[in-house]
Amino acid sequence: MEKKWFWKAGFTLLLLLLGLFFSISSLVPVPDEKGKSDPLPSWMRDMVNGINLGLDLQGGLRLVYEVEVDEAVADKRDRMATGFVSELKRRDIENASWKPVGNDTFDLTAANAKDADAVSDVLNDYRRVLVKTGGSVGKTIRLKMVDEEKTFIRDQSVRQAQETISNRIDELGLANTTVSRRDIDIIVEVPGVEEKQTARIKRIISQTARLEFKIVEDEISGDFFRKLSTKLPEDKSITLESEAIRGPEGPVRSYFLKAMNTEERSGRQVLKMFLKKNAEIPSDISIGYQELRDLDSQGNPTTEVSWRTFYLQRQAGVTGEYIDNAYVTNDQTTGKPYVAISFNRQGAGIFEDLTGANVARRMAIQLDDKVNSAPVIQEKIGGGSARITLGGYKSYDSMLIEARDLVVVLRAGALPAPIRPVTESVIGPLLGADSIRMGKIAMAIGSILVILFMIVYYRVAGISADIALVLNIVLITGILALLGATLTLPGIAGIILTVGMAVDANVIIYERVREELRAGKAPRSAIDAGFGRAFWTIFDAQITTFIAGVVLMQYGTGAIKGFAVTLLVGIVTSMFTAIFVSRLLLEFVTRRGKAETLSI
Amino acid sequence: MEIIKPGTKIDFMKKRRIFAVVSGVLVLISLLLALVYPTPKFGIDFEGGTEIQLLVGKGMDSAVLRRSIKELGFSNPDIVSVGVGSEEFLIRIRSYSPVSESTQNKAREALKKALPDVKLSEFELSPGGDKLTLKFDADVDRNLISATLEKSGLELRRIKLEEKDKSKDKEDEAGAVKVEPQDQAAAAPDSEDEIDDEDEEKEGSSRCIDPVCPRGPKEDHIFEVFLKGIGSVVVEGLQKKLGTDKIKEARRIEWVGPKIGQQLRNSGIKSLLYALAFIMLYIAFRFDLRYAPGAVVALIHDILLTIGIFTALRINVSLETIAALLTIVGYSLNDTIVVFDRIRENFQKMRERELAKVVNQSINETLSRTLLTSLTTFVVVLVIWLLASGPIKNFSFTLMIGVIIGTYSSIFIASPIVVWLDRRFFSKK
Repeated sequence: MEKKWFWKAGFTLLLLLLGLFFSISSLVPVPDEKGKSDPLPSWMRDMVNGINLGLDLQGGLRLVYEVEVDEAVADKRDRMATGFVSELKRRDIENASWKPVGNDTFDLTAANAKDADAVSDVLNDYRRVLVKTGGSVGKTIRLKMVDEEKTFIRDQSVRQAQETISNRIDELGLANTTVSRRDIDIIVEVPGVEEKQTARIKRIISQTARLEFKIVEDEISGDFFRKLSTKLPEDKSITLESEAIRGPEGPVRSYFLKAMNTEERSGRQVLKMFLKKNAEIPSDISIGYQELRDLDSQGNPTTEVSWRTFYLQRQAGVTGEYIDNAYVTNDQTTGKPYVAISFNRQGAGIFEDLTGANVARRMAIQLDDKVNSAPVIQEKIGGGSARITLGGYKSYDSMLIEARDLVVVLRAGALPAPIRPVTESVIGPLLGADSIRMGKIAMAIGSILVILFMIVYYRVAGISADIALVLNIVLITGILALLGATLTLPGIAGIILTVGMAVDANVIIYERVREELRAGKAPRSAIDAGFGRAFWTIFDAQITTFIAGVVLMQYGTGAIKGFAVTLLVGIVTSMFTAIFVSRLLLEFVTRRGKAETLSI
Repeated sequence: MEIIKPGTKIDFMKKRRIFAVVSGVLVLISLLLALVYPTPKFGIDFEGGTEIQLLVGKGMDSAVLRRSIKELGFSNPDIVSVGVGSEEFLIRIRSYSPVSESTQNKAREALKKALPDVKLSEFELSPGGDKLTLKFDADVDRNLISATLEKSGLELRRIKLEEKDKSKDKEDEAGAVKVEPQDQAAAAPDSEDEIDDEDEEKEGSSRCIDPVCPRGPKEDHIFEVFLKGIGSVVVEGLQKKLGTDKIKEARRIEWVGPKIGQQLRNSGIKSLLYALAFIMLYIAFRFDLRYAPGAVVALIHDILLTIGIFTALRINVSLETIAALLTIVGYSLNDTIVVFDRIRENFQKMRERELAKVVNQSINETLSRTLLTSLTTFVVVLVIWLLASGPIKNFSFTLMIGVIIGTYSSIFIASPIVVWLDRRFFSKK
């Protein structure tokens, strides 16, 4: 035996051991019951991701969300009403204002009765979507959205929600998750039921992720909040506070309300209820809420959480719609992670105009009804980028996770309306337990037939091909486990295809070797010639399929991707086992080159 | 052991015209079938269908359900167990129950006639044909609605449900479903915990088990009417077959949308096209320009014929079929390249000027390997097809067809095209 042979054999053995190691860690299940100890050491679990079975093979969680379509309607109503008022403004009617009534109706008030002509003029533009309804008194008319428009918005919001959730799942790179629609419900099916993983998925799915940049009306906040000072509750659960802001025309005093979290309610709820009862918020203003944490003497956050208000312009200056990209970076000075966003060209223009017009005022960055921060605009900001800082009271790791999740939702876009979880249930495999059971039996019988066939047809050489085949499967499992891939039925199809190709490769080689033997060559040189000639045949055949696999992985989604991954992995391993390993074995059989015959 | 004796000489090239005509006709028939029938039938994954949430007795399993539903005449149902004890199943069938335009009009007119003083501003049927939404501008008697609709030919679904323990019944017919607000706040303390009067109102509405149920705020006068669709037919059929103690009731029957949206479907098709283009490039580079079209035409031939067979046999195209199609493409490609490789080799070795002869010899030389590989694959797939049930059966069936077509095409399509191209464009005579 040559020395080279031993080196090759050693290398193969090493790969086999590695393959076994990784396969085992994903084939031995983590025990269901808490009390039982894991048969594998924990470092092994940590090191290898393991193969997850897909929704079709294993089942998973079925989450049903209801899209709050009425919120989408109300949202559209707001936009229509503000649009209506600004349209009136363009016609020199300054004092028009509006007030919501129900979620599809608003009252429009013009200061003078003479403006009625202009109002009906504008209304004419809106005639397809708005209709005058009862309850118009004097200068106020009541406008209601027409039913067709409402139906359209409802339908569209569900459709958009489905699309956005699909995008988020794509961003997360979750294999084999399905998103489907049922009336106003969105059904998300996630493979596996691992709690940590699903909690994150749920959080990402249900975040509305509406990002808005709104200018803070510090200058006139006092007019609003100081009027409320007499109505504040006596127990001091809500306090009126103020702060000094630079302001474009010299310093101004900004007022805000602050409330502590109580046992039953968050500070925000307390503030909201108070304002609802005691104040009328002007139609061009919205109130933002920010979470505050008190620091103790060492500068560590205490458990005391309170909320404060911001007096914001109702209309957002820039929104998340204009985001071009978002990514996580670390702050140079604090070392804390934050999310950097860059706007697309249009968004960058709007952002530049907005910041240019509001230097020395504050701009609130609001994410889903929660003010993230409200920095003072130092100067006009060009280039179209902004940053979103994260709740700075958490550990680095949890901030990093939060930042990554935020990137996912910002990239995928906001939901058109909030969604609400309705049910959550564990479902069995989509293929049906019965068909999986029979599928396993069928595949086992099929494999045994192939193995037997190879032995009957090629004798000893067939055995070596079978050994190579088993090694091939061990290697595929090992690599898939290392990658933490999700195995689905299409994935198994990919494996079957590559195993078939491995068998085929051996058939090609052996037929060649037989040809060489027939031509009168000695076994050893027939093997050399056969393998040598067959190599390029196999190479070309497998590479063409490999190319197809790469393309499918690049452009395909879901099922197609799952197929492509196993196909690619399988092609590499089957080339190796069919050409390298089976040759090694045949060389062992005909060792020293003295063998007279070759059993093939 | 040998299947094909060495030195076999079959003149494949002589008969290539016959095979070209046969294939041409078959592809044409496939295309025509796809045009005549409403394309290949896309399964529930692509088109949506009816979803039934079925409550069953103890010991019911998915195999029995699948068989019974098939016997009722619904092919390829999805059957998924819910929860751990599996006393609930989600059954998805592709069919839904469209209500004809004339029946709809009749019902609408009947309603208008029966309620002359009230304006009917909305009359909308759900895509699955199992729910009708009505909107009026004043209050209407529910019994009058149901009576009128039934008289005009619509079948209403009456639900026989005893009041169940509320926590279990979160997903119910009327859609008055709610995760308690406290739960939500507890699960995510940071999340929005707004108190809204609208929400409070919704909570007040109790479950409605009538076929006609009010929805939303009272002053909207919106009613949902539950119709008897294909879902009820399935449930009643199952109950008749297996008894009401085995098949208890349908918790919910509703149309569901597709899992694979248009976007995904298009990206799948696009990726296939790109793959074909790159394969052509590689073959042109590694072999010769005249080989590339043959391989790709053979692949397209395989895909079209398989789809044609699907259409003819009325098999639903599902996710599994897509995977099988991809496998066929890979398989057929592998086959074709092996033959091509031999042609390339022999062309250099034989110094034979006439390509047709070289091709013929190459096919003969590789015939043993081609048949061996195809046979082993076919046997494996056949075993799976014989034993398996449900989606896996369809999957293996597709592969069976694919193996036959793929082997055929690499011998009778891909290679003759190389010869034809060579004569037509590369011949120096």
